[in-house]
Formats: sequence, C-alpha cells, structure tokens
Amino acid sequence: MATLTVDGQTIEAPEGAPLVEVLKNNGFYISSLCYIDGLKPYAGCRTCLVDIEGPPGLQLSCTAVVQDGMSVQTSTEEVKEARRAVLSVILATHSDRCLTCHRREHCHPGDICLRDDVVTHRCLTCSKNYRCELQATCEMVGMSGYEPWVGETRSWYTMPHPPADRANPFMEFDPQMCIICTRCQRACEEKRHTGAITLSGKGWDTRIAFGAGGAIDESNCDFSGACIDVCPTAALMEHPNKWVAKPDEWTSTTCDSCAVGCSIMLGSREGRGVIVRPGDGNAFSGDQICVRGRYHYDSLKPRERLQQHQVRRGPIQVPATIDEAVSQAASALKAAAQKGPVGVLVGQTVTNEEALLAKTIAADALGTKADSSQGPVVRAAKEALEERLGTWRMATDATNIPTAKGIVVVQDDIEESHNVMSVRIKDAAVHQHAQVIVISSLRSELVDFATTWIRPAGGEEGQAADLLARALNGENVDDPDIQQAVEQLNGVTREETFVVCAPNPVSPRVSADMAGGAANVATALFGQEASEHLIVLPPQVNTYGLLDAGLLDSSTANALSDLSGLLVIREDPTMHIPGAAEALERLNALVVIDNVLSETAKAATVTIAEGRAYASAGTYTQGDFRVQVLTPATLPEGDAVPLFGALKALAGALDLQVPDDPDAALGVIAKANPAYMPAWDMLVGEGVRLEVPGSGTAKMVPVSAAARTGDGLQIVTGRDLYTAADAAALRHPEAEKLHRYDRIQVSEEDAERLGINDEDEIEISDGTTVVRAPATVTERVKEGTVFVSSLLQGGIVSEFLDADGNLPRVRAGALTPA
Amino acid sequence: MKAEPTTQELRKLVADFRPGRGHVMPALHRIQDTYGYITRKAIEVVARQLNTTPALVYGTVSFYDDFRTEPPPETEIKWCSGPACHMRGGDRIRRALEAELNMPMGGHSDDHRYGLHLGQCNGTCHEAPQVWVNEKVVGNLSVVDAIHLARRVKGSE
Repeated sequence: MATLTVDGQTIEAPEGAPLVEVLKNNGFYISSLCYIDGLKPYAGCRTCLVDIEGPPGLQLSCTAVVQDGMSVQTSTEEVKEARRAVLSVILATHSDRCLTCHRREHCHPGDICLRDDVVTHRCLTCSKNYRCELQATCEMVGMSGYEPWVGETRSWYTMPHPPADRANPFMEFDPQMCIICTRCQRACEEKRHTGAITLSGKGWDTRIAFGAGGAIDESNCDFSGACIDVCPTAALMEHPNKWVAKPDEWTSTTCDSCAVGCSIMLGSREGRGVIVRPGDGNAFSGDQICVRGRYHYDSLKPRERLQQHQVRRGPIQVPATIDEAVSQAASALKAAAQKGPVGVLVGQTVTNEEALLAKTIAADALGTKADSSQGPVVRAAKEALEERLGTWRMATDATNIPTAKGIVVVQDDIEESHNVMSVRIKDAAVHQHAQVIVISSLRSELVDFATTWIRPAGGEEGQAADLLARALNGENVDDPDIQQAVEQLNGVTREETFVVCAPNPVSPRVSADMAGGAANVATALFGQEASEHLIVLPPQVNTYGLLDAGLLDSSTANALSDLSGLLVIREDPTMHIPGAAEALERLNALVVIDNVLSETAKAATVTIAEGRAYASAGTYTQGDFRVQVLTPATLPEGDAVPLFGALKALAGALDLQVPDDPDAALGVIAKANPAYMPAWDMLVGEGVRLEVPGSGTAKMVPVSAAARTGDGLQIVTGRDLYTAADAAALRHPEAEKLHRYDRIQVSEEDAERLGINDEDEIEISDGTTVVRAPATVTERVKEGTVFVSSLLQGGIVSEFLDADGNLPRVRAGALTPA
Repeated sequence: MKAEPTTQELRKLVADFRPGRGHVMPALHRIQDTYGYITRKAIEVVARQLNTTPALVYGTVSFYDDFRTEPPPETEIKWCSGPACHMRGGDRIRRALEAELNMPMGGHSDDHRYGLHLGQCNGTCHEAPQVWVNEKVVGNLSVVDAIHLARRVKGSE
C-alpha cells in the first residue's frame, strides 16, 4: 500500500493503481469521459487533469499511477480552468448550447429558447436528459456560461450529420451525439472480445462505425449492450423504453434466461421494467450480461401477458377471481385423480421456493412426483454424468474460467446458449493465451478464439469428445485436429485446465452423448478429480435447483398420454414433448399457472395468471451451484399474482400446509438439504456457492455411435441467443425480434446443391413432421445438416424426436423454385 | 464496370494471406486492383481470412482515401497533389477540372462515367503539373489543356 495526499487528505491505495480510479473511489470528483474502469487508459478526452507535485504542468490522472508519497491537487483554479478549456473543445463535436447555458435549470420543455437553440439541439429533447454523463460532467466542471466561442460561426451546427441507425429492435446509434471517446469500441473489443465497433475515417470526419460500415444489425454485433453501458452521451441507447427509462426504483436481481447466473439491475417505473443494467458484485458475470438479460424483460408488451385468471365454461374460458380459479382448479384436479394418474409439470424458471410448493402439491395432494417438459433431456445428461463420475453435481467453480490456461468446450453453440460463459472463455483465450479446444459442428464466434476446432458431423459432438478422451489416454486416433488438441492440452498444467459442456436442450440422446463425452475428456485429463474440472451448463436457469429438489425424478413428461389430469406451472409441454398437444386434449383436467396464454393454457380447464420470474421473490441454483436471489422487481400484470402466491392459494384449496412466504420456504429447503443452509443465512450480490464435494470417482464409458434415421440432411438444434422463451410460448411473431433464428439455417454447400437461396421459403420433412420457414444460407452450419433453433415456431423441432430421443435426417427443398 | 465479385471469388483471391502478418493492406490492395473497389462482402471475407473483425478491416478501408467502397467511374482523372505540381500551378488545373466537370474533388458523374480524385505524387515530377487519366500520366498541362481534357472526358468535345 502506498500513502498519498489528495487535496490535503491522506489516503492509502495500492502502489501502481490507476490514479483516476483511486481518486473516484475515495470520493474526489474527477471528470473523465474516456476512461473505463479496469481497462488500459486511452487518454483521449484529457479532462481528468490533476496537479501532481513534481512534474511540470498538469497531468492526466488516467495514465498516472499511484506512487508512495505522491501529492495530488484535484480542484485548484488552474485545474478547473484547464478542464473547462478541454471540455469546451470536446463540446465542439456535440450540441452544447444547453450544456453551457446558465439558464438550463430554469428551462422547461415548452419554453421558447431565448438563445435561438433549435428544438432538436436541446437537452430537453434528448432521451438521455438527466442521465447523461456529458451533461453531469459539464455541471460538475462548471461549464455554465463558459463560451469562449461566442460570436463565431460553429461548424457543428451547420454541417449535415450522418443519419441515426434505428433499424434494429435493441439498440440505437445516433452519430451526431457522439464525442468520439471510443469507449464503446474498447468495451466491445476488450470486455466482450466481439470487436464489432471501429473508428472510421480520419480527422474531423472520424466516426464510430459498426462491422463493415453498415447498419448495426448487419455487423457481428451481438447486442450485449456493453457499449451502451459506457457511452457518456445519447449516441448509443437501448431502443425499447428509451424515453421512459428513468426508473423510480432499481432492483438487484438475477437474470432468468440461462444458467450462467448473471446479476442484473432492473429499473422499473410503476411496477413495469423499463431498463436493465448489469448488476453489481457478481464474481462471474461482472459487468457483463447478454442480449437476453438486457432486453428480455421487454420480450412481450405488458398487455400481451396473462392478466386474468380464467375458468372454462364449455368451449370458452371466462374471467374469474383467484379464489374461484384455485377452488375450481383444486376440485378439477381432485376429480381427475379419482379417474387416473395426475401429473405435474414445472417450468425450469420457477424458483427453488416455488418448486418446493409444486413438489408439496404433487406429492401430498395428487400423489405424484413433479417433472418438467425438458425432464427427458435433463435426465439424459444427468444419468450420463452419474454413470461416469458417480454424481451429476460438478464441483467446479466457474470463476476459474477467465484465468484458465486450457479449456475444452463441448457445445452446440455456447455463445448463443450461455453467452456470458463464452465471454469468459474468450477472456482466457485473449488474456491468458489459453489453449481453447472447441468441439462443435456449428461455427460460432468462439471458434475464432479456438486453438483447435474439432468439427464433427451435426449432433455428434459427444462422439468427438469421446474420441479426444481416448486420444488423451494414449490411443492412436487418426485425426489431425484431435492430435493437435491432445498436444495443446498436454502443454498446459492440469490444474488450470477445465472442460465446459452445454448439452443439447432438445434431443435426450445428443444431450447424453455430449455430457458423457465431456465427462470422458475430464476423466482422461484429471482422473479421479474429473468432477472438479468440469462444468455442465443445464438448459435453463433453475434446472439444477429443480434437480436438487428431486423434482425431475419421475418421468411424467415421457407418458403424458396415460394421464387423467395435469398441473402445468409456467411452462408449455407442447414446446418440448412430441405429440403433447394431442395428449393434452384427452385430459380430464388441465390446470395451467402461467404468465402467457401458451398453447397449453388455451386448452386449460383453469388458468391462473401469475407474474413472471422478475415478479418473484426466491432463489435460483445456477449451473455452477451458486444460489442467487430473485428480488421482486416488477409487479404482475392486472389480476395476476406472483407465482409463489398462486401456488400457495392452490395448496390452500387442496387443504395443504405450506410455508407462508419464500423465505420460510427456503428455510424448509435448507433444513431438508443442509447444503442450502448458507444460502438461507446470507444472500447478496453474486450469491452463495453451495458446498459441492468432488466425487472422487471417475471412469470412462464409451459414447456409442450416433443413431441415424431417415435420409437427407441431419437436423441440428440448440438454444439461440435472441429468441425469448416466453414469447415463443405465445407463438409470437416477434419472439425473435431480429428474425435471424425464426428461419432454417442451411449450409452454403447444401444450398447450392438444392438450389436454395437466402430468404427462400423452404420446407423440411421427415415424412410425418413438416416445418416451413424462410432459409438462411450460412457457413455456420456444416454441410449435410440443417439448423433449427430449439424455439423456432414454439419449439416445433421437438416434434421430430423419435422414441429414443433422436433427431432424424430430413428432406429439404425450396417451396418456390429459385 | 465489372460485376460485383461473389464470395467464392473473393475467398479464392485472398486465400494465400495469413493472419498476424500485416496482410490487411496487401489483401485490400489486391481486391481493389482486381475489382476496382472493395465491397462489404470483401471486407467480411478479408476479416475471416485474417482471423480479425470486419470492423478492423473497415476502419482501415475508411482511413485511406485511396481505398474505395463503391465502383470507380469508367474514366477516372486523378489530380496530382504533389509539391512539384503545386509549384508549377497544379491548383489552377484542379480548379479548371472541378469547374469543367462540375464536381468537387472525390466526386463522380451520376452515371459513373467519369470522376475526379485526389492523387499522391508518383515521382514523375518532370511532367508537372500533371493528372492521370485511368492511371496514364497526362503531363505538362496548361489550364487550356485541362479544360480540353475535361471536355473530352465528358464527351462534349
């Protein structure tokens, strides 16, 4: 620690730390418009001037580092004047009349500007007004009345500006607001490793540009919004709710979109979400989230969610109060139980506490065990892990990934399914020069960071991983990629090597193969310590919470047609189980608790409207066994109630005793499973990692060859980055707002052979199931396969599954010949 | 004007360049030499070939005035901006060309038949003041020569 004096105060800071961060963290105001905490200084804006005793003149506090005995002045007249002068130069590339106007506080939207400032140049007409860093900086530095240019013609106001890019549903870019601080470019490059942003042109014509110079959505931007977080002006803004995103409440909660477990801050106005920013204090996600975390709070408009409880009267569903709905639901389920077995299906975005209630209702009132529609896939991966490692709970701490020296990734496309995990793997590749072995048939951006890309046939990632494991064990494998991977992995220390696997979310067979192959690689690399170096990311956010609660033990989802009654909690079996729609029609009673009117809810006897996950209080158990808190950030729409309340009411109507609130429920969970005790005690920020011991056993079990049925192109599927699951359940045409994944992806080679062009309407068919969608011709897909997103047309790809959980080969062709 | 190159053609053209060896500029030059300009597709192909991002390649393309992102005119007059030409009255040649062709430096006619661009000194200073018409030196120009040249290029003479 070094001691330094700042404005007469003595503070302590680590020697060599960037001075600007130390000053900001100790409560000194430093204007800094280009510095990003934690990244290399750029020294572009030059407003962070301070007076350091010793060197002549003023120094930049972003490039200065803390030295013992340093003496710093941050607010002498000289410093203040210098900052104003520098800022006035920056303001030459921004509409600044309001920023330097001494009357700004007195000005109202309807006022006529006495200084002739046109309406589109006024801060009051800017969507970032009052949350703008440039505005705040001008205020703090004292720019009011600082106008050395008065009387001169100013070129910014007379020159034409490039048009704003408002072409995509997520992010707006308005170059006339840009002060070329290049923070976005550096955030995209250094934090995200995407590199979608560049400086184009030179001199006065320098601009921020995306990709190859076109619209944002034509570039390789993945809409994580990391650039929005750092933009000091309104140049880069979220598109949804940008005019109302001045929240009256910020709530720290957890993203419900995948099992990585990113913390988010959800800003709400009058109970409705208006903005999401990355949360604080999460050791894994840090200041990163993905497009789902940032924008899926807004996946559906409030009016598109279920607002009323409904009960069926003959062919129609009529609105009901919650009391009517739960009592009818209870009696319908009881009556159905008299006639035959009753099932319970629980969505994997419900919290551990809600799951406990669901489990209680299933066991105590209906005499059954709860399952999930994706149960078969989850169980397949779980059994594959148990068979090899003796447990499905991997003891690996995911925070080791960014500093790993070697990583094997067995994936469909982890960039799309678990985005922030891929960012952390790229961290390791860029900063640690880690050996990254990617095993996937799809070409993802992660491949650009891979030292070896093993590209098996579609859906045979597990088999390829198994081959790699055998090669690591010394078997002679005649494949140059695998030999290269073995060489690279043998060059790094085992302690710093990890295996990451995201099993397929649709096909149980592929899921089992991938998990099994990854476990074999881990066993070959780490022996008995395999479970301490393997991370298996489940398909949804709370899959492991449900498994921990013993919810996925039964196989209700495999036998829907045998049931008499069914209780469905925030999910839609028609999206995951082949033939579910017909099975649901034969039920005597179908009770649905959900926030959207899914296909299942449309067939329901009783529908109870709930708020979505962001309205819930509770906990999630993430892919690396961190338990994270959900704090209610939004209010349920209309008559809807938080899910815990809905389940409690239903339990009451079934004469069950259940915990009163989510906290009490967590207490019950912790008493039953002591691993959860620390979670009950204390939960903040990054959450509490459950104690998961290493299994201590590992054996390799060969992954059998993939079964192939039919002829034509093999279907490959996976979770895509953009589709919102709840909107997909509604079969909403905007479930995928960018319209990249509501199409069928075809490889360039197959497209040429079959005469398919981009945008052609095509049809794929295995003889019984037929799917039609526009085609995208892309190098992402390997020859001989077609990619269908797991959520395309409400998960229609699952209809292709055969009894063994395999996806077939299909015939593909354009509907109108090209 | 040549047809827009296909992705396959572009991939073939830059197939021998390798990442991490300063090959961005040579690749871009080769594409411009072959097709006369650099398409967006070409930027993406170069980025993939050199294992970098389209943004980096586009930043390079947009930095240098010599790289174009739209097809060149059929007849291109490049005006030399070098010091020797400047000292022998090159600026008057420029004004004459701009006035006669009715376009600013860097402009082209609506039908892409002819255009006027800034050139950098190529060392043939004994010909100053000079322009290049489709890369061929036309030197020792007087203002009258420049006006005649412009009219011939326009086709009005």
